[in-house]
Amino acid sequence: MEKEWIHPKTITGDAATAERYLRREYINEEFWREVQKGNHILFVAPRRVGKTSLMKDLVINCPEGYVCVYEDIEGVKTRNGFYQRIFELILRCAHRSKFQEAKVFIKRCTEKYSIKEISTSGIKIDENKIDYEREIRELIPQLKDAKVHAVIFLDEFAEVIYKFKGDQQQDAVDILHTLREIRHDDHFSHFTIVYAGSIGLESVIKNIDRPKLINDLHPIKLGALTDEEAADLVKKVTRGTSIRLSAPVLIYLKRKVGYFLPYYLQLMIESIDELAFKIGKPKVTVEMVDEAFQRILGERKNFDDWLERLKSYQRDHFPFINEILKHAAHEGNIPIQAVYDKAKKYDRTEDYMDFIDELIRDGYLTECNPHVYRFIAPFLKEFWKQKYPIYEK
Amino acid sequence: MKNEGLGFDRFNYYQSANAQADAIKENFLVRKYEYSVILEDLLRHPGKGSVQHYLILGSRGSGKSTLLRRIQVEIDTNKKLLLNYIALNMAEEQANIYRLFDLLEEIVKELESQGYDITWPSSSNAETYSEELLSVIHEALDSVEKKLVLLLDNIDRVFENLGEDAAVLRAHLQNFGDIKIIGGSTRMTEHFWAYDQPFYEFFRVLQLEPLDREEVRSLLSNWGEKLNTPLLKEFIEKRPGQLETVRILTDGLPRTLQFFVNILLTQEPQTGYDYVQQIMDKVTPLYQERLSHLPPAQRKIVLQLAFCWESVGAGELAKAARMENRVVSAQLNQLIDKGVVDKIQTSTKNHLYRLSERFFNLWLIFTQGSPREKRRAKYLAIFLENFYDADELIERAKQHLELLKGKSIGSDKAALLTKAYSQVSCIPSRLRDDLIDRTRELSDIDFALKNELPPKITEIIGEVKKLVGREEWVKAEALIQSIEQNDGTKEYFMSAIASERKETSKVKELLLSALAKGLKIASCPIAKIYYYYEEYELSEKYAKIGFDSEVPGCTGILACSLYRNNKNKERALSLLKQALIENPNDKESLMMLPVLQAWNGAFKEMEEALEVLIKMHDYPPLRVSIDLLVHRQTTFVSELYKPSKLKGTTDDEVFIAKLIVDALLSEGLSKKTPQVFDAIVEKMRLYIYQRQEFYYGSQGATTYLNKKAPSERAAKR
Ligand SMILES: Nc1ncnc2c1ncn2[C@@H]1O[C@H](COP(=O)(O)OP(=O)(O)OP(=O)(O)O)[C@@H](O)[C@H]1O
Ligand SMILES: [Mg+2]
Repeated sequence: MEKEWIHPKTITGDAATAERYLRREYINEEFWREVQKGNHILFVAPRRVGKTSLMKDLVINCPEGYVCVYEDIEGVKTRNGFYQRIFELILRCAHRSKFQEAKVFIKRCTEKYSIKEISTSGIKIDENKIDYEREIRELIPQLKDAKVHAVIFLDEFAEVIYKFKGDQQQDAVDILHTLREIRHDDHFSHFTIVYAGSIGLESVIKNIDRPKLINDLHPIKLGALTDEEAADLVKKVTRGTSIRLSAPVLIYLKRKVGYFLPYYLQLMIESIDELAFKIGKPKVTVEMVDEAFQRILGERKNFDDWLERLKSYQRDHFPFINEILKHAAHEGNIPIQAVYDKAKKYDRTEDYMDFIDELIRDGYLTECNPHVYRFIAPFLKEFWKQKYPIYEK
Repeated sequence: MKNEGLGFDRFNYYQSANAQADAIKENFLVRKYEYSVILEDLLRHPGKGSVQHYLILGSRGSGKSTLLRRIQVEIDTNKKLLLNYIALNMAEEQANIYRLFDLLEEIVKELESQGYDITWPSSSNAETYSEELLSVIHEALDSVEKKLVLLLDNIDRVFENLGEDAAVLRAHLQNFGDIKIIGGSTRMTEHFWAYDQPFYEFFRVLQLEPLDREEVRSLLSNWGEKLNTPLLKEFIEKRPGQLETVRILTDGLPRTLQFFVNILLTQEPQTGYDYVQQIMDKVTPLYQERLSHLPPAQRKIVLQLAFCWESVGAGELAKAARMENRVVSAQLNQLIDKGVVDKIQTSTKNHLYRLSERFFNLWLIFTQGSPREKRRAKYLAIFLENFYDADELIERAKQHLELLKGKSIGSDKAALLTKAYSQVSCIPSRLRDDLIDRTRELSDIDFALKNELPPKITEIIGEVKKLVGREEWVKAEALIQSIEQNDGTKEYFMSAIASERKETSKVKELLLSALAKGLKIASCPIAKIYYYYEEYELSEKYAKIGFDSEVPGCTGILACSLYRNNKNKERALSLLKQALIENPNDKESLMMLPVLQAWNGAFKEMEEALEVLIKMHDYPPLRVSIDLLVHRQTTFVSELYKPSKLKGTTDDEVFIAKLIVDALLSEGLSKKTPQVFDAIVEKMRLYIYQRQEFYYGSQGATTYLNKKAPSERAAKR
C-alpha cells in the first residue's frame, strides 16, 4: 500500500511554475494591458502570496513582441551592482530575440564591452571598469531599433532599496530617480520594468520621503484566490494522487483555511497527505482536516515568537495592537471603523494607521478588501485566537 | 538473557553516512513517509520549474542523516535519477563548513573531484566570492543539464553564519532553479520562520516524529533478523508492554533504540542497580555527545531540569540554576527548538518544561548528579517501574532482599535500591518494610545513609495511631497519604480513621478500594461490616477471600456467615472451632459456638460450650438464647432461666432476658411479662419463626402472621 501511495503535487516554498501554478487569467490580462499602455508595473503583496510565481508565469507566457526576463535581485548590494544587473538583463533580453536586428545589436555590444559569453544564465565580461549607469542610458534607446521590447521583472526590488540605508541612502534615491527618468523619456519606450517586493515599496519610499519617485507606477494587487479558484487549486494538486477529498470535505477545508492564499492551501494539503499516509486512509474526513490544521499549528512552534516579537518591539503599544489582532482573530477580519474605535479608546486616533501599516509590513495583517484587514496566515490567526480565547466586542 | 556475544556494534552509531549503500537501503525501515515524499518529487520534477526544498527537522538521533544518506544512495543508484541529478552529501562530520563560501567551496571541490571541468574564481574578493563560486556551480550543472541535490546535514550551522549571504543564496536558487537543498536540522532557526528573513517559509518542513509502536516493532524485528537473534524476536513477541516502555524511554528515537537493543541482547540482567548502571554506561557516548553540543548556559539548564525530573516552570528553574529569568526563558526556547526540552502548555501563561527524553534525563542524574542527587532514588524507581511489569518488579525486590540478607551488597547501592523499591508502588508494604529493616541492619551503613531511608510503613502507622489518639485527623491523614505504596495500605488506614470518626459509608468504600488494590487484609473488616448489616452473602464472600489468603480473623466470620446462609454445617462448625484456636478469647465466636453446635445437632458439645459461656458472663446472653430457640432448644433454654440457676442475680439485663424468654416460651403472652415488652417479644417471636422457616422449611412464620393479624390482611385485600 505504501508503494502505491501518490503524494499531492504541491509546491511550498519555491515559486509555483508550469503545471504546479494556478493562473489567474484576469491578472495576466490586466498586466499586459498596462504594459501596452506604456506603464511600468508595481506588484504589491505580502510574502508568500505568489508574486514570484506570477512573474515567472508572465515571463514564460510572454506575448509576441516582448522579451521578458525575470531576476531576483535581492543579492544586489551596491548601486553599481544594481545597474550592472539591469545592464545584463537588457543584454539577456536582446540575446533571446529572434530578430536579425537584435543579433546585430548583441554583436555590437559584445565587441564594445568585450563580452566573453552571453547565456541564459548570465553574462561574462572581462572588463570590470564599466560605468553601468551610463551604459544602460546608452543601451535602452537602441532597443527600439533592435526590435526588442524588453520587460524586466525585478523581484525583491523593494528589499534592495530598503537595504540601502545610512550612507547608501542617497544611492537608493539616485536609483529611484534614474528609473523614474527612464520611465518618462520617450527614448526609453521599448523598455518596461516590473517592480516587486514584499516590503511595500510605498512604505520604503515613505522613509526616504520621496513619494513622487514611484507614484507613476501602476500597482497591481495580488490577493487571495476566489472560492472557485481555491477549489480549482486543491483539485489541481490532488488530481491523480492518493488522497481523496469529497465535495463536503473540500468545503470544510476551505472554511477551515478561511482566506485562500495558495501557499496555505498547499500546506494544508501536505499536512493532510501526511496524516492520511500515516494512518493509511486515502479518504479524507473533516476530522482529518482538523487534525492536519492542528498539526501545522503545533509543528511550527514559532507563533509564540511572532507574539513575543510584537510584544518586545511594540512594548508600549502592545495592548492597542493586540486589541486589533484579537478582533481580527475572532471576527475573521477588522474593518477600519473598528480600528478607529479602538484607537479612540487607546487615544491613538492620530497615528493608528501607522500601526496598521506596520502590522501589514511585518506580515501579520493584509488588506483583504479596501479598508478591511485580516491575518495573512490562517494558522497565525488561529494561534492568536487560542492564545487570547476571550474577546469581547 | 544470555550474552550472545553478537557484535551489535556492527552498527556504526555515529557515521551512518559512511555505511555501505546496500546496507543503507536494507536497513532503511522508518521515516518512509518523508522518503517517499522526497523521492516522488525528485522523480516527478526532473526538469526546469519549481524546486521544492526541504528542511528535515528532528532531534539528535532521530534519523535525519540516515534519511539524507538514503536519498543520496537512491540518486546514485537509480538510473533515472542519475540522469537528472547529482547528489552531494555534506555529511555531519564536515564540521568545517560554517560560512556560505565554505560550503560552496566544498561543493566545487567535490564537483571537481567528480571530473567536472572547473575554473576556480580568480578574484578573492570576499564580497563577491560566494557569487562567483555559485556561478561556477551553475556552469558545471549546466554543462551536464543536471540539478544538484544538496544534502546538508546540520543546515542550521550554515544558516547561522549566512548573514547577508542568505539573500544571495536565495536569489540564486530562485534565478537558476538548479539546486535543490535538503537540509537536516535539530531546530528551526528564525531564518526559516521570521517574516523579514529571505528564507521565510521557503523550505518544506518535514518533522521526524518519535517512532510509533509499529515502527519500533518493525525496526527491532528487522534487527533481530539481520543479526539472527531469536532473543530479540522473542522480546518483541512476548513483551509488548516493555516494547512500549522502551519506546517511551527512548523517546522513539532510532539511535537510542539501537543502544537499547544492544543492551537487551548482550547484558545479563542483574540487580536493578547494576542493570541500570550498565545501561547508563552503554549510552554514555551517545548522551555525552549530545551534552557537549550544548552551549554552557543551556547545559546548565538541562542539568537543572534533569534534577527536577518532573516538569517545572521557568521561574523555578531560574532560581535553581541561579540565572536570570529572562536568560532562562530564552535558552529554554532554543532548547525546545533543538528538541531537547518539551514545553507543556498550561491553562495559565506560565508553561512548564521538562527534558523530552526521559532516558537522557535518567542518564544525567546517574552520571552528572552529585551524590545527593543520585541518591534521590525516585528516578531509579521510575526507571524500574517503567521497565518492568509488576510481577517482575516484585521478583526483583525479593532478590534484593535476599542479597540484603546475605549481606552481599554494598550499603551504598543497597540503600539506593531499597529507597527506589520503597517508592515503587506495586511493592507490597510488607516486603518494603523488610527491605528497609534489612538495609538498616547492614553493618557498613553510615548514619547519613540510614537517615535517608524512608520510614517503614509500620512506623508510619505507629505515628498515625498517635495522631489519631490526639484526634489530629488532618495530620494523620496527611501522613497516611505520604505512603507511596499503591497496594491499598493507604486506604486501609484511612478507613481506620474514618471508622474512628464514625463515617461508616466511607469506611466501607475505602476498605473495598484497598482490597481492590490487592490489600487482602481489608477483606476481614469488610466481611464484618456486611455481617453487621446482615448482608450475609457478601460477608461470606469477603470472609472467604480473606480466609483463602490467610488473613487472620476471617475464619470466625466465615463460619458465622456460612451459618447465617445455612450452608455447609460441618465445615462451618469446624471453622469456628479453628477460629477459637486461633483466638481463644474471641467473644463472637464463643457466643456462636453453641448455636452452631445446636445447628449441627452436637448437643452434648453445645451444653459444654454454654457452660463456658455462662462462666464467662454469669449468664448466657439473650442473643444466644434466641438463636438456640431457633434450633428448637426450648427445654434447654427454659432450664437456663430456672430460678435455681439465676442464683439470685440482681443484674437487670439478665432479669429482662429471663422475662422475655419466659414470654417466648409460653404460648401466647406470658402474664408475668410486663406489657412494655410486648413489642419486643413479638418481634423476637417472628424472628424465631422466620429463622426456623429458613433453616428447617417450617411454616411457622406464615402461620404466625396469619394468626396474628387476619383483620389487617383482610383489610388489605
Ligand atoms: N498561483 C499559484 N498557484 C499555486 N501555488 C501558488 C501560486 N502562487 C503562490 N503559490 C504558493 O505560494 C508559495 C510562494 O509563492 P511565491 O514564491 O511566488 O511567493 P512570493 O510572493 O514571491 O513570496 P516572497 O515574498 O517570500 O518571495 C509557492 O511555493 C506556492 O506554494
Ligand atoms: Mg518572491
